[in-house]
Amino acid sequence: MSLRAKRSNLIRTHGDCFASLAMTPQVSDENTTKKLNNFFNGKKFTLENLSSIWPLFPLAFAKSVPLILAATGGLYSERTGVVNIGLEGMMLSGALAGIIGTYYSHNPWIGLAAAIAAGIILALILAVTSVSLGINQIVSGIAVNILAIGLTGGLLFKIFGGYGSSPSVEKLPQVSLHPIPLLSELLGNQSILFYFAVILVIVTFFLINNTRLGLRMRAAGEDPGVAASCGINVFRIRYFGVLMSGALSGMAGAYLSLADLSQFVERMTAGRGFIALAVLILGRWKPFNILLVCLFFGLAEALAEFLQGIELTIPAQFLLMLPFILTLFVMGGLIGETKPPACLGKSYQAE
Amino acid sequence: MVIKNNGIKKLPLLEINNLITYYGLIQILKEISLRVEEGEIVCLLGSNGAGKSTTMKSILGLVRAHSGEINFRGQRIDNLSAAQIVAAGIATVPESRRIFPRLSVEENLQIGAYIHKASLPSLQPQIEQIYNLFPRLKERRRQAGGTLSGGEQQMLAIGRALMAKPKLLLMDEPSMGLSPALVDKIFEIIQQINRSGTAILLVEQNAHMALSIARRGYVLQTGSLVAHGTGDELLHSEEIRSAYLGE
Repeated sequence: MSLRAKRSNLIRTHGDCFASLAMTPQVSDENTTKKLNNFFNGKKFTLENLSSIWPLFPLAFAKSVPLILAATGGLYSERTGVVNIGLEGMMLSGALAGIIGTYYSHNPWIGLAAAIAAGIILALILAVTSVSLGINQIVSGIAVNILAIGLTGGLLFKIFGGYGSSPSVEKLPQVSLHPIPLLSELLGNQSILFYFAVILVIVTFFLINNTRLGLRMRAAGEDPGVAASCGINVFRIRYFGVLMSGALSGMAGAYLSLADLSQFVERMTAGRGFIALAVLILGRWKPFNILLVCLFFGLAEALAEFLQGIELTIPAQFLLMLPFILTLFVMGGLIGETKPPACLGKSYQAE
Repeated sequence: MVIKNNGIKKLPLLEINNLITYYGLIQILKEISLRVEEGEIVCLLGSNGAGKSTTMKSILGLVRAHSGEINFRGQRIDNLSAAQIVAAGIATVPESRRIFPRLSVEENLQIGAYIHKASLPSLQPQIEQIYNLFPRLKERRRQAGGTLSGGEQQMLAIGRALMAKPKLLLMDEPSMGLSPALVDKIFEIIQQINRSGTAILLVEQNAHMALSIARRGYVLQTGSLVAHGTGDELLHSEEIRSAYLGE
């Protein structure tokens, strides 16, 4: 049995969280795998051989999109001072809501809207418990994650009847930048959400650094008490931050189910929400740093997938560990002290 | 008592009547009544835990009063939100120089004017005025607030409060932890701000300094007002000095 067949078998039989990572995306076809095979078997390291790893880049960009969306979402929440451990759960429920919305409407855009709504609803739970009621943000974030796992599993069975995965639905459109020669080659065909994610990063950078709203968000994250004494409604701005993170991580989930695949697989987020949190720390809560870190992780994930295509004797599971191991190493070794918003994680109560 | 000004009775700028505040089940303020007239410097004295900061927070709406009334320019404010109270014209310099450490000096100042809903560039002339008052801040405008020295942070906290263009400025222990020379400088600036027409309610442990610039003073002890008088009266009363001001 070929590796590829083994992999798809694995997904069918287990619906396992790591198996979903191994899902072959649109951009890597048999042809690119062959090219890579040639590259690795070729003894001479020539420029011509090097060009055969070019298909890795479109895949890396594609893999980075859910991280960009979720991490930027996390940025909105954390800059206002609320740790959002629940990104993973919000992504997962977004992924399922995207499929349900598309399944019934036959329109992936409505699915996307449903995914955003699902993310916002879970974010609302986090906001009410941690912002209004002052419950520990980590605890309510974990609750959101557990709730999302149970809820998506239950709904998946209730609506589609099967265990593990949903039927296939129509995907969100893909866009290629044909007129621009080099860039279109580098990017390949990307989902429309990729372009949205890049624009989002630019808009977020401007919003955080150059607008009154951004200033207000940062003030609430730095010192909510003083922010309140300057006349800022800390509760309102923290609600905004948390709900934005819900909307964007719901969208990140929809990318997994409506752009990367075309179906929902149980626990398909496979820890990406937590990687997004690590990305936030690595990117020091700055939009463009986050974009770079996401591209790096996307590359790691793409590499893991690519290396599986080659007949190596390493078990696929080890390659799938690659992004996670990289997270640990980079977090532990490469970066030193990072400075989060000063009052991140501290609840604020007007006595 | 209403101060007569050219024979016309004037409403006090700030008037607190029988304010009672609890933290949970513990009563912090026991029927506090005080007032601040327009253009006055009034100081609120007392040792640690006397209820000075709680009084400040009650005025600003950061702590809800259990009962009593707070009026500002004839309008009841004890049921308003902190944002509405700041918008009404009360700004604060919080205890222990709480500035936003990761925001730049200029951003700290911009936050101060938040309630005026002006666009960030349009705040520039007002920021320049603050720089005229504190030239050190201009030199450090792009620096993170947390990198400033203690004295500079206090200047920044005062500048930030002034950005709200307040009628009444609440100052919570502005001299705390500063060197004597800096304390002199800060008190000089407080008088300068006052001369430009802003009333100031000053909470201080440094009674001598505070009374020397204040027109009137109140002495708080374990949540009750125990003495009230002009700055001179309080400063020269043996009894008050020994009993409450710890001299």
